[in-house]
Amino acid sequence: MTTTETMAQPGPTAAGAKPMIELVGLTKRFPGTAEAAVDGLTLTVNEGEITVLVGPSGCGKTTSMELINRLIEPTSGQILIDGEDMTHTNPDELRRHIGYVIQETGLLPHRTIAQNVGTVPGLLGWDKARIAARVDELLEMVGMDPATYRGRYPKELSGGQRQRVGVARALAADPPVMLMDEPFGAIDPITRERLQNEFLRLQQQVRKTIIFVTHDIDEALKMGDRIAVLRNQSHIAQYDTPENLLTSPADDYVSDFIGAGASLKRLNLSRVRDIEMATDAPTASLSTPVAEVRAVLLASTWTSLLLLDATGRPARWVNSRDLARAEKGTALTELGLPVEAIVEPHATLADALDELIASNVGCTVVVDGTGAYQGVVDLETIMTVVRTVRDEYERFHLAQKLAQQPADGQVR
Amino acid sequence: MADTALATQALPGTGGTAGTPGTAGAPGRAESRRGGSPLSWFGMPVLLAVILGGTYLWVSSLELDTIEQRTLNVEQLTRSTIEHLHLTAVSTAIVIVLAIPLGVLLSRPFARPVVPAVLGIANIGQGVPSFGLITIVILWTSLGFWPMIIGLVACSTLPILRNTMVGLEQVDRTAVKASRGMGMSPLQVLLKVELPLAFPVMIAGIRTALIINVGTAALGTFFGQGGLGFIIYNGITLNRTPVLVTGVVLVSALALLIDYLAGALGRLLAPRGL
Amino acid sequence: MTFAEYLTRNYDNLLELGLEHLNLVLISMGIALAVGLPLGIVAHRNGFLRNPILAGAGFFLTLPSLALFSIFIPVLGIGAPPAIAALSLYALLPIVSNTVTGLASVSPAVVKASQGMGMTGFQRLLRVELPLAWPVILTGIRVSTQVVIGIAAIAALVGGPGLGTEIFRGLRSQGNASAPNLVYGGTLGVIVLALLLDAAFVLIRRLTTSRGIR
Repeated sequence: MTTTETMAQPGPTAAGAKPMIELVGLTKRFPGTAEAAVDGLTLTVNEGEITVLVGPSGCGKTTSMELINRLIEPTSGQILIDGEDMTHTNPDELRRHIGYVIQETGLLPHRTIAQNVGTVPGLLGWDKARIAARVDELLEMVGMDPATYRGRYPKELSGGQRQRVGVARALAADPPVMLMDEPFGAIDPITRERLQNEFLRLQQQVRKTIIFVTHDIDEALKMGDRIAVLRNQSHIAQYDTPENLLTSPADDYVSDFIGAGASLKRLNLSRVRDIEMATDAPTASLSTPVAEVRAVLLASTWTSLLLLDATGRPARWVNSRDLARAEKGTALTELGLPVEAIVEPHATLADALDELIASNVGCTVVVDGTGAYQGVVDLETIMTVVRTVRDEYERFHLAQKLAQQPADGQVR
Repeated sequence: MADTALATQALPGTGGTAGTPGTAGAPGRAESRRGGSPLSWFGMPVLLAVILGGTYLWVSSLELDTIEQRTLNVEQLTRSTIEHLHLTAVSTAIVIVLAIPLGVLLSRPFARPVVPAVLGIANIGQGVPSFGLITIVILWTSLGFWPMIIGLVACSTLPILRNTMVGLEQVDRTAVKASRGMGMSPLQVLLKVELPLAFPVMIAGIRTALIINVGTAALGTFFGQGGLGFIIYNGITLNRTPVLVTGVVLVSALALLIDYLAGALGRLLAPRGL
Repeated sequence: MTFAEYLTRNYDNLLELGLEHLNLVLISMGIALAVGLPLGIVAHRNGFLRNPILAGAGFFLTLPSLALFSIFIPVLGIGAPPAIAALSLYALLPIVSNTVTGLASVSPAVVKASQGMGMTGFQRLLRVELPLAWPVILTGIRVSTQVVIGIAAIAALVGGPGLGTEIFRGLRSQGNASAPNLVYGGTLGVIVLALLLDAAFVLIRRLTTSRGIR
């Protein structure tokens, strides 16, 4: 598997990205075991990116992560953070500067939410006022009202809330690096989806360098800027961007791991803001005279028109029959259909597709952060994306097969 | 001594809930050593042999004066040991015969209303000093072997009773349900399922009661019933250290031996797979 | 003389004996805690020493109380000192074993998270493990205390202080009309003391356990 080395060494570097974490030949051999649990892991993680370690259970991904904050001491190899060798520093000191989130949250049950979040600042000797201010700021950041939750105990929170607190706690001392070990693994699917989205939004603000461990390829594709697919002993099968992983998997192991439906998974990667949405849908303000509204609709190729309220937010879909009734005196606000399918630009195409299928109009309205109308996504747009991916994928596979045929007898 | 043994049984009584301190303790003690290393099987006998042998060598190296000789002779030591064993054996036999059936009865569904009351009394009972309890029994009756036995039984009833109840209580309900579902009668379920599954906890209770009785029987000399306490008390009142040490070593060795034998028996008799 | 008359005439004497008894118990418990808690922590952290420590503590609890009280007489003389030595040893096992059980019951995730946040081993013990194990440890201390209160009555037989002396006095004056009163008084005193201390433990538990784990 020569790909391992060639892919791993420099990593697919984006232009101008600065390496933040460098693992060099990291190896862990537990006493009394023949095989190393982690064998020569070499990986570079760029600043401000989420790098996902994904692989089947037992492949050594969690061990690899625990080697980085030295909960497990490496047998050999090097850990560089921001260019500094961390392999022989004081591990407690090191851990205070690395955020750490685990699946079971590990909140201290005998301490309040505020005390939990303030743990690391306390260890670092911040004064009380500064800790209190930071705790409130963080709770706010993870969407929990400080006044309500500050004094509560972990057992008084739901699983999702606990994990939010876990994230806030990891961010408390503003560490440049965060390690997240299946942070959303123990949470129900609906809440998990929400937490993932919130975390991605949070990451847009904080821009931490994150190593994220999961066994779930869908989560990996959604969360990762870069993904390292691991096989046994933390050998890297492929280290690449999600797009490249989907369109050009390095080998059968990777494509098997990604599984079927790669093109549908691609919908999870493309965001609404990245594609060309339709902006030609006819719109009119609610206050526009009905006759004018009708004229706008007639002038377009669409069968329905989107009414916007005074602040530019989508209000209702109306068609020509609705408008005819409006001319007889019914108010515009009572006609047509309410706009149900709404997404923001950072939503994935999968989200947009979900909304679209559930709605009654056949297209999803895109709004900006303030809720103002931006454009629409319809089935046609989404299909185009799926088709492109499939074409790329097939072309790649064909190329790969052709390339491998002569080598078959020797390598594999 | 009653209190001592309650503790043996209540050690990791982690919950500390009112009625059942020590559900986990007793079986833990019985099970953890099960099938263990040679040390767990032979460590105690070897230790006892060394201690007894050492004491024997030490005492026989001394020039005993006449006062010491009056206590430290084979006849007296044998008599005291037999008296001690007699008190222990009879009281333990009676307490087993009384407390186990009572515990089984109290664990049947019809007894459910009185269980909290019984456990409540048992808890207060923990605070009753065995020394005071026996003295009261003696005052009510007279000095004598049987009043002493009544006192001992009163001191050692609680652990057996409670361990029987707790042991039956913690039997997996699904096993009971399955057995009923296969057509066993309630009596068959009790004999073939519940009692075998409760056995480790029950045997721990019996072991605890034995320890209480060996220990409390040492007070027998204060109630005119002899036992190895006689040797110890002679040693104290006559201010003769060799006598005192001999008494202490003999009664301790007896207690440790009985505890060891009860533990070994429990391990051998415990149903496989538990 | 009825028991009520005895009580009214002797309550100050009983109170004094009760305080002696309490004193004996508290000193012994103090020593047992000072030894037992560190032993329990060592036993938890060092798997190799765990069984020897627990077996050692269990050994003392198996010994007959009269033997344990007496063996210290040649060294410490008659009176309170041998009683305190014996009672401290009796109190050891519940404290040690509950400390081990309590520390072992702390969730591994919590331990890992504390480590991951950069707490040193000592900080983890002090701020996380001991507070979380505390309810279990306290139960051990409570059991120990009950054991010690009862056994302390036997201290009188080896010339020690406390309520046992009243019982012993009654036993010696057997046949005398006042004998039962002395025995009842001493025994009841021990029971009352046990109940009072048990109530104190309920209060201590409430005051010293975080609301988050109650």
